[in-house]
Amino acid sequence: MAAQMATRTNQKHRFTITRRQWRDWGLAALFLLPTVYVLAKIFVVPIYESAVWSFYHYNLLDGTPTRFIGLRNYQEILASSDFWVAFDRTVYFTVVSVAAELVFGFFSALLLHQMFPGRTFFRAIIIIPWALLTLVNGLLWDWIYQPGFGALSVILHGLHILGPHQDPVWLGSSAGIMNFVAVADIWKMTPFMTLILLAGLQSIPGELYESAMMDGAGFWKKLRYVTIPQLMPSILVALVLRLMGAFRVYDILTVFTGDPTTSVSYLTFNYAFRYFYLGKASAMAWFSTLFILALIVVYIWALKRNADAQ
Amino acid sequence: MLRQRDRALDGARATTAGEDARGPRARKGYPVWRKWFRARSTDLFPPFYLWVGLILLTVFTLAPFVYLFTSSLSEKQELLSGHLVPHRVTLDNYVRLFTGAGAGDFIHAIRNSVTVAVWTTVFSMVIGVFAAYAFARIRFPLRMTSLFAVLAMQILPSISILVPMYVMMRNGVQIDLPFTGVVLYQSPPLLDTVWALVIAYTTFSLPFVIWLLAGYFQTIPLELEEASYVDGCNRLRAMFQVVLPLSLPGIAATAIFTLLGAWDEFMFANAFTQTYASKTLPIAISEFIGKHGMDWGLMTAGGFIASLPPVAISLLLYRYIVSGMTAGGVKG
Amino acid sequence: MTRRVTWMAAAAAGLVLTVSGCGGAPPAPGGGNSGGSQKTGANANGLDWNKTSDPSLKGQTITVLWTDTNGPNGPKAKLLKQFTKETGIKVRELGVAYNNLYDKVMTAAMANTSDIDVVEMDTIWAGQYYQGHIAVDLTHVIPKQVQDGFTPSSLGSVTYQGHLMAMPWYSSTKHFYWNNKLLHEADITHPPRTWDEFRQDSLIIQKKLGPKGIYASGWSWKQAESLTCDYVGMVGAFGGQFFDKNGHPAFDKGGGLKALQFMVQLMKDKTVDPASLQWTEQDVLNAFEAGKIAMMSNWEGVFPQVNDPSQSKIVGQADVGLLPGEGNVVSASCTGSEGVAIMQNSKHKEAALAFLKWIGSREYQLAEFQQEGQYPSLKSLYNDPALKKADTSHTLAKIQAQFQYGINRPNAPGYVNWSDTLASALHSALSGQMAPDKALQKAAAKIEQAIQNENS
Repeated sequence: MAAQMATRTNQKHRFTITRRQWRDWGLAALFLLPTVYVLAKIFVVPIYESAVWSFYHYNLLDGTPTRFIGLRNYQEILASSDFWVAFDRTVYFTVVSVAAELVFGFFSALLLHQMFPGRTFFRAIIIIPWALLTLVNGLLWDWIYQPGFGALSVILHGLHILGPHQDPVWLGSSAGIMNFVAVADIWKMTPFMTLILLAGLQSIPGELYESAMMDGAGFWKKLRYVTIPQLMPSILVALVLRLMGAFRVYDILTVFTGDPTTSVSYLTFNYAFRYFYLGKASAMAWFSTLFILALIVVYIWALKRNADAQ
Repeated sequence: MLRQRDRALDGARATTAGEDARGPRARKGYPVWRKWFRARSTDLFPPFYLWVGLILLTVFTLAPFVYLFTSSLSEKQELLSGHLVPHRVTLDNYVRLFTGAGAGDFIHAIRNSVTVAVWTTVFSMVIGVFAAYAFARIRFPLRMTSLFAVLAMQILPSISILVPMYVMMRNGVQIDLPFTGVVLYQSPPLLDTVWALVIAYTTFSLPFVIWLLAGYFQTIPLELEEASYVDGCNRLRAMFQVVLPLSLPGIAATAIFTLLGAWDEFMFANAFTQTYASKTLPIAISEFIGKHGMDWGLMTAGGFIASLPPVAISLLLYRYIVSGMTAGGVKG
Repeated sequence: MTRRVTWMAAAAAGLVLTVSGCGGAPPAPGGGNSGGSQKTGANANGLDWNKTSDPSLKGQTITVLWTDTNGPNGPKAKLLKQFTKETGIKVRELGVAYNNLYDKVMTAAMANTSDIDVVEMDTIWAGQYYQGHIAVDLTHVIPKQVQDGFTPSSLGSVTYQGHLMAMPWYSSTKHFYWNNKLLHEADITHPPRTWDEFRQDSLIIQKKLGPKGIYASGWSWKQAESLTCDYVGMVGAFGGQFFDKNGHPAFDKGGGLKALQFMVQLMKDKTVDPASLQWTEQDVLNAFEAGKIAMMSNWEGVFPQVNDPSQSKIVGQADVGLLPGEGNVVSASCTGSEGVAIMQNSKHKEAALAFLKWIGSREYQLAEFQQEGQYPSLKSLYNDPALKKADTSHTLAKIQAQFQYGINRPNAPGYVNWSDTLASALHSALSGQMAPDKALQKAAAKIEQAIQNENS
């Protein structure tokens, strides 16, 4: 959407300013005023303060004086193995869960787009996981992953996939935890993906499928030549929204493990509110923000190039 | 427009499906079971695969949720013996939840959650709808830049503003005229009130509202609005009489997202709330985790209750959510 | 695109500067009054132990932040009413869950609020409360003879480098629990007294009862504070040191290393329920109550629950005693005692002191034991007939015995960070990903580095 708006601006751009335009600008200013005021007040000022902190040695609880240290917080973070472990795990989690959500969400959307009796019912129930509280989702999956009496172990024992004396500890290692967190996240967020893609599917005219059918296209060819190209804008939006969300994973991890190096957000939160290294935590927050911003700029640039090419 | 077509199709569902059963191929003498493996011309999936897919989808979607519910009806001993479905159903966990020692807090928490979610939504929507309209419909300098800035605000981690915001809540919020030193209104300290949460949640819900609504407004054909200018409407009237009514599904969807987001939030709530006067449901549930572990019975019961309102809202209004999702991405 | 981004940055920067109007360094932590007052002794706060019943305090309201999730009608809230009745000081109770407590205290301290007067202090926070100027130093406020009335262990838990940071609130350590029936089935006549004996017994139990799905022991070895806690106790038992005399980490050699090697050995013996790696104390207790583990280490206060037929399958089978020792060490156990501290930003410090005095009184300590099974910090109470009468499970003497062998976790300001580092190393050794010595060396190097950073 953003890219489309961008191209539209460029097309309509004129260098003469008419009275109508002045009036529009005035109206825009009026309309934006409350938003600008509110966001400046409650968002920009705090964010600015945290940016300042990121250049300070600002440890709250060890009695050391607060002082300006330039970029040293950033250097120390980049040199810290904990940070990179957390970063790698976060990226791994993000890629795995978003990719799986995209695939599952895509096929769920295809299923639910088709016409069949009871479609309303099926469309409605898939929303349930997404509406669950994030914290409850974390606790629920922690409960499912309990060794011995949790649902996962019980079911696997029931199916005789696990022998009677095998009792794996699902959340035993931090590297393994990432996979189990991903499952919990996929369960909760696939509906979100489905909904966006479902909305996108509605704008694909059925005639396209019919003509593809005439050309003798089967299931996969219909997907390849009709659905996916037509759905691309929705897919990209869904991807960006989910990437941003998944990269911030925090709540579930706090339930699953005490290991802060499982995600950048977890580590940042611990630096800020457990060890009270506020300067370093701010620097870490800013680093990951800039990283995601860069991703999004690249994404929008790619979108725009795509749009220009067409 | 899409959603109208969708509704029409949904309405015609019964008859289409009925006709389909005796489709042209069946008449030509194909074995009946064949049609289960043949997709209709406008469809992707043959019925057999469709239903296999739907059953799998339903099982995977509902199983954990049902497990949450059945666990909440189990006694502790059954939970720890690995009974997926309780052999003896008990409402004990719910009784403890609503009449036990912490019951007062839990009931207050439900009330606080409702208050916070509703006011956050109202506040963000009222302010955001104007900004979104400006971004979507009015050409002005730095428009895209500002819209990106709004998106960027969505990405910034809430952690970095937690402490400065705590100080703000502690001192009370001031409404002033910038650069003049004129204070129009000075609120009392807001810590441990629901208003601190409403304000904090606006930091992430307002950008989100603007982003979604601006996208949705774009899908309303410009011609409709221009036609109203011919009738002598000015922009404001055009907005209220043409754009907003047509955007109702988008507005509803955005409101639902905001509502659910506010219902779900934990980090700010954890920092700003102190007593039953402002604790929200996620906090109340997190308190079932004791110093040394978890009360699974209370957690499952509390978690189920806390999830009911958002689940109910999503189920009732799912149509708006789906059509509201056309915001972003889809070409207008 | 490039131009747009530049624009965006410029616009954002412009907006920021115009709105905020000023830049500047972050605020100094702990309020303007910090620093000096701390070093000149706590009496600079003007607190006087003998003036706590001053009539001017009547009608003041103090705000108390501590763990209490039982709401306004719970036992704690009722006791607070009693305090108000006696002193005329009103109490506003902020009852939160333990896990949210630390965040709340620290956020309040960072924001320099005077909203909160009295806060709970877990033993591991003492250093932060002192160095971070969060709580008032009570060393010279609470008279020596009053301090002597508390058990040395509960007093030590709230002291950091000789500074008394809180009023001892309750006593707590981990204890050794076993299931008599299961031990009997394995023909073990008495609970183990040394860790070596523990291991031999475990092997026997595992051989005889393992086929029934029972494990000899279960532990709270999830990567969290509960793991560090068990390790600290073990280090004590094996005669190790956490830090050497010069303040450098020393747990990676000697007793510290032996302790972890022993824990890993237990895992390798397969006598430990493997789920231990995902368990906290409550999970261990659940397994114990289900009769799935024969021995465990856990905090006090489990008895009403263990003998409650609606929750437990092992009613009347459990017993408690000293955690094993090794060599010259009779027993060693991690302490979890807590205190109640006065916030430095409080505007009602004298009233808060009156509250602390009441917390340390026989009346309150006895009532807490009677109502919530919280073990007193007062020495004299352990011989008090009223307390003995309230001890329905008849375990008071055994619980009290363990308190003599409490080992404090190092409660320096950096502790929380060290503990996370250490828990990570311990967990990777226990799960077999790293050799014990390598894991500990890595953790020691990291903690050393953290100490260097703090001092630099």
